[in-house]
Amino acid sequence: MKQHGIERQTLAVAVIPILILALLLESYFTYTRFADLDRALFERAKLIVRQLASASEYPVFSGNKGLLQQQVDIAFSQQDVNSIIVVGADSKYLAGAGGTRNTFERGIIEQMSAAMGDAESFREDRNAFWLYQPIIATQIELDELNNEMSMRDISKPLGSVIIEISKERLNREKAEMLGLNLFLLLLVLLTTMMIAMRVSRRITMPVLEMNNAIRRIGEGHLDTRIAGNQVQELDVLAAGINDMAHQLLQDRNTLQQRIDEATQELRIKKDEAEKANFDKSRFLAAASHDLRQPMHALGLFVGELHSRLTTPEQRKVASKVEESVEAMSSLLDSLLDISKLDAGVVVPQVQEVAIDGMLKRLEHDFAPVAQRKHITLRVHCIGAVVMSDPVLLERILLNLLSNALRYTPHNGTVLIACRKRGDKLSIEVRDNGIGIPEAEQQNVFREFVQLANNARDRSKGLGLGLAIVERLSRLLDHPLTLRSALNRGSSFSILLPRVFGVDELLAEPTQTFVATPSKHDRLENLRVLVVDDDMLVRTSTAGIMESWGCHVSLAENLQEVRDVYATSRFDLVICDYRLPDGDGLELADCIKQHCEVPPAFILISGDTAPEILQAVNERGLHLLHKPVRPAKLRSLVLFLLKKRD
Amino acid sequence: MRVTVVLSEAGGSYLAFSEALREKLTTDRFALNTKRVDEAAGDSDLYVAVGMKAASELANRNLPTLNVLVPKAGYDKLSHESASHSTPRSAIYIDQPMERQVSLLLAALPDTRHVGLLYANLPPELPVLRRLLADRNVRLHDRQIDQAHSLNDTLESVLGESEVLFVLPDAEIYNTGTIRNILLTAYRKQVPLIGISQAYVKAGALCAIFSTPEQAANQAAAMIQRYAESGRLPAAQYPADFEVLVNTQVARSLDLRIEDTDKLRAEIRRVP
Repeated sequence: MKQHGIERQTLAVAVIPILILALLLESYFTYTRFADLDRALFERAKLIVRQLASASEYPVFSGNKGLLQQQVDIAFSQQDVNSIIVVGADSKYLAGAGGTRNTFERGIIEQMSAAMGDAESFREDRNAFWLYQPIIATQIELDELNNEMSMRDISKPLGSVIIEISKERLNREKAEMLGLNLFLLLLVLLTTMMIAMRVSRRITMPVLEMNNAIRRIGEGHLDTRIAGNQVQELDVLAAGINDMAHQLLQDRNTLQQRIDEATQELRIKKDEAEKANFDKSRFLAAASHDLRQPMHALGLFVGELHSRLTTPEQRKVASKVEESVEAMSSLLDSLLDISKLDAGVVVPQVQEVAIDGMLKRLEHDFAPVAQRKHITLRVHCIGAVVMSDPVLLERILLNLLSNALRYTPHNGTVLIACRKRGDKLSIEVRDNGIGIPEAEQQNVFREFVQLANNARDRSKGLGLGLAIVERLSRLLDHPLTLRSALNRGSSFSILLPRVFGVDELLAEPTQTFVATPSKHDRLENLRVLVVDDDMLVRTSTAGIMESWGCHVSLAENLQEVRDVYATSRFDLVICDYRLPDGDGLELADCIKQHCEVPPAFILISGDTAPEILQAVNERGLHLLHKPVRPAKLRSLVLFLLKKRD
Repeated sequence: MRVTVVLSEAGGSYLAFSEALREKLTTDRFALNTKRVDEAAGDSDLYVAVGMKAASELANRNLPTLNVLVPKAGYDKLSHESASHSTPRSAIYIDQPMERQVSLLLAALPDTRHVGLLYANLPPELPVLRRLLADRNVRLHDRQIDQAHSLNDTLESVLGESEVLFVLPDAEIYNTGTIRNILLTAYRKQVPLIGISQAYVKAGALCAIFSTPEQAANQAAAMIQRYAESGRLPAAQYPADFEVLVNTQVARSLDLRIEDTDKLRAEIRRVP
């Protein structure tokens, strides 16, 4: 069904009955009025014609045409009389007025006289009607004793009168009346329509207003209110909407208040969390710096002690001490690494990495361990370049490899293999060791979980390796998979994005780095400057360097370097990154400016902050993290000297 | 004796006559029975036919009949047509004798010298009338209406010569439709009209001489008694008694001085 608005429906309800009623009444009254008019005119005409017939009686009887004409003229002077004609008993014309002599009326006279005889008759067309009235002598009873013969001629007319009455005035009156009636009808209709529209407006306007108000409320203007109006029901509705808006406003305010409160609480919590995180970071920084400092010194002291001892028993004890320091150092490293990873302070420096060099280096590093356990260590390279953080990736591979070697029995085999997987590269570390039962495969990535080490033998590691691997692979987005079966070995693999078309020569030639460590005498008489604010570190570094035959100078800060060694020449500078009056980078810059042949420069830092690493890389310097193992320091020194030559 | 009164119509003068007659014939000798003309007459010793309609009805049946309230011309015509002459039959005319009418004319308007008369059919009284008027030195102007001239034309010409218009019963001229216009025309000519009945006077005639139904009933009762006694009916006769009526309004309109009706009546009675 078609939909209509209130206004149109009200209009229809008001106008249709009125229209029907008005039309009915109009037609009824118009019809009756017309009939009245017709009848009135007809009655008047009949009166005129009878009067005339009566008045004509004597003139017709007496043949007095003058008198007859006089009577006719009197009748003719009446309103609406078009024409009059009086004829004798023999239908002979006696008198007339108006346009009586036209043949048409003659025809009518004859027709009427013939058809109607002496009775009154009537004929009409659209514009006029004709009345025929016989002139009958006034009947006066002469003698009731007269015989029938005398009665015969009584009704014989003397003649007849025919009168033509114009309907012109009647029709005009009718037209005027019709016009007036229609005008009144229109007036009534218009009035009704106006009233209906006003009434419906009184409904529709508030409805539209409410609609607007509801839309505004819907848009969120809850302070919108609807003014009252004259229609009671709508007023109730408006009040309801107002109440609703008021309630909504209240609810929103309450909600807003709660949100504000919750937000406030969250902000406090966040602040607390941030503070806790900051504290943790500060702790980590402090730990990494303050714990490494003595560990670093301890390692160097033990190294020096080892080189100075003479008897095999003494050396054996020193070796044990060295192992303990080593274990503690690596434990510290692992703990700090895990903490840093969990704290999210490690930001990967993703770059192009030539994987072959890294693998070769690892093979070289682990060769002694493998030899000791008679394990065959094989590396399968395919010369690929990947996108990764070289330090973190090496850490992953290192952990996986040391893990494999640890759980592979004597005469076993450990394989590191690269395989192309589309545009990815899979690096797989496989052993044929004891394997991991399926139920345990998820647990091995948790901290301090070690299979087959219920006694927690320190020499079997700390159980942090795989936990670190798992975190690092997630951080680097290198998916890690484990396939293993009990007693059939394990296979860890990570998936890395490959880089194509990169000059693989960018990778540093590890061959030279690996080839040099055995040259001992190159460190003889080397002029070394050690700059460190920590006295223990300073003396331990100096001790180990001197045990290697170097001439060592010491400085506590930058100022001292400038004051004491401004003119001195050094082959190697070992500098702490953090100094009381600046940092190692300033010193490096300074030395680079003043020396024609700059000395080899090694920065040593307790911090692992990425920005430091970045700054160091920008200057082409070398950074070692505390604690530095004597062997590593020695390898780097040898490498740098060779490069310098 | 059984007497049956047969009325032409049950009303008006006819009824008045029969009532009056019943009052006169109160003795045990007469058993009066009144019927309308369309009712079966029944057996009776004498029939009284009231009006022309009853007269012509009874004339066909050869019954002893006394006709009353019939014009002399009508009765004469019936008697002439009737086959039997043995059946007792008589009549009391409704008309007045010419002498009496002329007496009225001269009593009412003694200075009259010219009298007009119109007729369609030649009236049998015309010679008598002419002689009576001539005796009194009055000239009669009589015209017969014809097809060539209208009633009005003939009337106008008669009126032009007359001082009084004298009426003899003639339905073709004097009827309900024409009387008004005749009277009007006569007034216009200042000519009075002497009527023949009460109705003429009412319609506008100056005066009239006539007998009432009661007067006729008196006369009829006497004749019936005669018949009862002798078994014979007297000859047909004019009414014995009469009345005179004058329309004083008409007399005033025409500026005529007329004696009152009693004097006129008395004067007429003096005439033999």
